[in-house]
Amino acid sequence: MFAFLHKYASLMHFYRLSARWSGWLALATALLMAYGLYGGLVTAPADYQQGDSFRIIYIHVPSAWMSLFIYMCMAGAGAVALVWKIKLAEIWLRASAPLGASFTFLALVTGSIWGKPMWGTWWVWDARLTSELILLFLYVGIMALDNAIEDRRTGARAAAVLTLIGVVNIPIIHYSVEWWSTLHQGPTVSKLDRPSIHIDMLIPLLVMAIAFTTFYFAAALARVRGGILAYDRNTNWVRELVGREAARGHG
Amino acid sequence: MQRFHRQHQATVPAAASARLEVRDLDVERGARSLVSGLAFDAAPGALIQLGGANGSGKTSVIRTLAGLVAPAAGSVHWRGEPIAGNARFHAELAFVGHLSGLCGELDARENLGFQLALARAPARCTIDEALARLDARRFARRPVRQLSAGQRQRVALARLALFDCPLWMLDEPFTALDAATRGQLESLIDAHLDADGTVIIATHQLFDSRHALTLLDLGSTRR
Amino acid sequence: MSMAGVFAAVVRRELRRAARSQSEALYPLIFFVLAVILYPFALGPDPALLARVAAGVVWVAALLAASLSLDTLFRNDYGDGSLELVVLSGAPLALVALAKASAHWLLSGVPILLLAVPLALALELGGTTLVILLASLALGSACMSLIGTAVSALTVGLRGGGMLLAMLILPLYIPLLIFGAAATSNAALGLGAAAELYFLAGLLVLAVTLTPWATAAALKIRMG
Repeated sequence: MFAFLHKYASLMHFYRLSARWSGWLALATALLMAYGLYGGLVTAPADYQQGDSFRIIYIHVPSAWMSLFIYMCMAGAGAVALVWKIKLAEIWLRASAPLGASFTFLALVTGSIWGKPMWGTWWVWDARLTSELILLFLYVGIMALDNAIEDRRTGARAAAVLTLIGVVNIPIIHYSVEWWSTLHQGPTVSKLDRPSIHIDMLIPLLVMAIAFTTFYFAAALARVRGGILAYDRNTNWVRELVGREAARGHG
Repeated sequence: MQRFHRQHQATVPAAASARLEVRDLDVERGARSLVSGLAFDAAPGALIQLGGANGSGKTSVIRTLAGLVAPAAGSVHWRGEPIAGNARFHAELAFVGHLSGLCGELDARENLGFQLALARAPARCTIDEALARLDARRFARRPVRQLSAGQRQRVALARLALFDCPLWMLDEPFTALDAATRGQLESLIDAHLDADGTVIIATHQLFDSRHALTLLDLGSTRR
Repeated sequence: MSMAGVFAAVVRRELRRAARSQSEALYPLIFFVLAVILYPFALGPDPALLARVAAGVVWVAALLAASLSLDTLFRNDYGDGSLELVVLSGAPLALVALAKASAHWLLSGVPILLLAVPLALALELGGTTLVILLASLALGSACMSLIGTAVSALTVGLRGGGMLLAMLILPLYIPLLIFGAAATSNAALGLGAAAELYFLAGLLVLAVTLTPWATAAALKIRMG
C-alpha cells in the first residue's frame, strides 16, 4: 500500500494528476457560495433579536471553522512530512499556512463587525474571539519560522514541528481562555451563543462551510502546484514543462 | 556539479566489516545540486580526500557522509547498515568539522571531558594523554576563547587521539596549523591508517601520507 | 555514556558557562526587575491598584524575561559547532534537551522566583498570596523552560533571533499566564487556588513528557 501512496506522493505524478482539479474545485466553490449567500442573505428569516445584522455569521462562523480545520490539515501534513519525509506533505503545509491565517483574520474581522451593533464596541474579550486571536499568532509564527529558514525543506520541517507543538496546545489554549473568560465577568458569552437555530438559517451556514472548504482546497492546490515546480525545478520534467510552456507562449 | 562513476576498490569479504559504502549520493544545498551520483567504498586502511576549491561543497558532502544532513538521494552505509539513527556508526565515527566544536568559556580539559561524557565511543587514553599527543597540554587550563586559532585547532583534533574510533572524517583539519603541527597531524593520520582505520578528509590542500590516497575532486569551479 | 552521566555533564557545562560569563547570565534577571518596576511608573503608586495588578505584572515580566533568556540557550553551541558534536555523539537528544531545560530553569527560573519576593512586596503583595504566587511561578517557570527549549532549538541561529523566538513562544505561554495569575488573584481574594495549581502541575507533567522529543526533532532538523 505504501508503494501505491508513494507513487501518488511523487511530485511529478501529483502535478499531472491534479491539473484539472483546481478548476473543478473553483467552479464548485463559486456555485456553493452563490447558493449559500443567497440562502443566507435573502431567504433566511431575520433574527428576532438581532435583525439583519446577524447575517454576518454566514461568513464569520465558516471562517472560524476553516481556521481550525486548516490548522488540523497542516498538523496532519506536518506529521506525514516528519515521519515519512514526503515532500508533498511539506509543500501542502507551507501552502496552507497563509490560507489558514487569512481565514482566522477574516473570522476576527467579521466577529468584530458583528459585535459593533451588538455591544457598541469593536472588540470584546470573548472566549472564542480571544482564542481565534491566539490562533492567528500561531499561524503567523509558523509562517515567520518557515520564512526565516533559508533552505525550503528544512523550513518546512521546522514549521511542521512548530505546527505539532501548536496542535497540542490548541485544546489547552481553548479551555484555559474559556476558563479565563468565565472568571472575569465578560458581558458577551451568552450573546455570541446562537439560540437553537432555525433550519432555514442552518442550511446556508453548512453550505457556506462546504463552499469555504472547496475554496481552501482549490487555493491550496494552486499553491501546491506552484510549490512542486519550485521544489523540483532542477529536474528534467520541470525543465521540459517550462520549455513547452515558453514555446507555446512565444509560438 | 560533478557526476561520478563507480569507484572500484579491493573487495573485502564480510558484510559487517568496518567499511563505509556510499551509493548514488546526491547532495544539495538549498536548491543547488552540489554532487550527483557519488559512489565509493572506504575500506579499512583507506585514505580518501574530498578535494575541490572553496565553495565546491566539500563541507556539505562530508556532513552528509557523517549523517548530519540527509542526502537528496542515495545512501550511506556503515558495516552494511544505513547510518541514519545508527548507534554503532555514532560510536565509531570521530568527526572534526570546520567549526571547533569547543565551548569558549571552558578549558580544553573540560571540553574533552564533556565530549567523553556524551560519547558512545570508548576512550583509548586519558584526556591528558590525548592533549599531550597534540602538544596541547601547556594551555589545557586556559579558556578556549583565549587560545589562538592554531591552539584551538589542536584541542579540537585531540578528540582523534582520545577516542577509539575506526572512522575519521575531517573537514579542513590543516587550517591554522603551523608546519610542526601539520606534521603531527599527518603522522597521527598515518598511524591511524596503519591500525586499519579509515580517514576521509575534505581539504583543498595537499598533504603528505605514506598511504595511498584516493582523490575525489568535487570540482575546481567556484559556485 | 550513561543516562545520568549525560544529564549531569550537560547541566554541569551550562552551570560552568554561566559561572564564567556571569554578566550574560544576569541580564535576563535585570530585565525582569526593570520590567516589573515600569508598571508603578505607568500606573501610579496607589497601593490598592498595585496590589490588584501585582500578580499579573510579575507573571508577564517573568514570561518576557524567560523569552529573552532562552535565545542564548543553543546559540553559542550552534555557533561554535558543539551542537553538531552533541548530535553526532549518539547521546540521546531528548535527554540532552531535558538537561538543557533543567539548567535553564536553575539559572533563570529559580533566580526569578527569588527576585519575585522583594518585587511582589514592593507591589503590596504579601502573605499567603505571595506564597501562592511563588508556587505558581515555580511550576510555570519550569514549563516555560521546557517549552522554550523546544522553540529555541527551532529558531537557533536564525536572523530575527530573539524577537522571532519571543513571537513564537508567547502564545504558547498564555495558558500558563492564565492559570498562574488566576491562582494568585484567587489567593488574594481568600479563595482556594488549588485547582489552578493542579492545572499548572498537569501542564508541567505534559511538558516534561513531550517537549524533550520536540526539541530532539528540532535539533536534528536544524542541523541539516
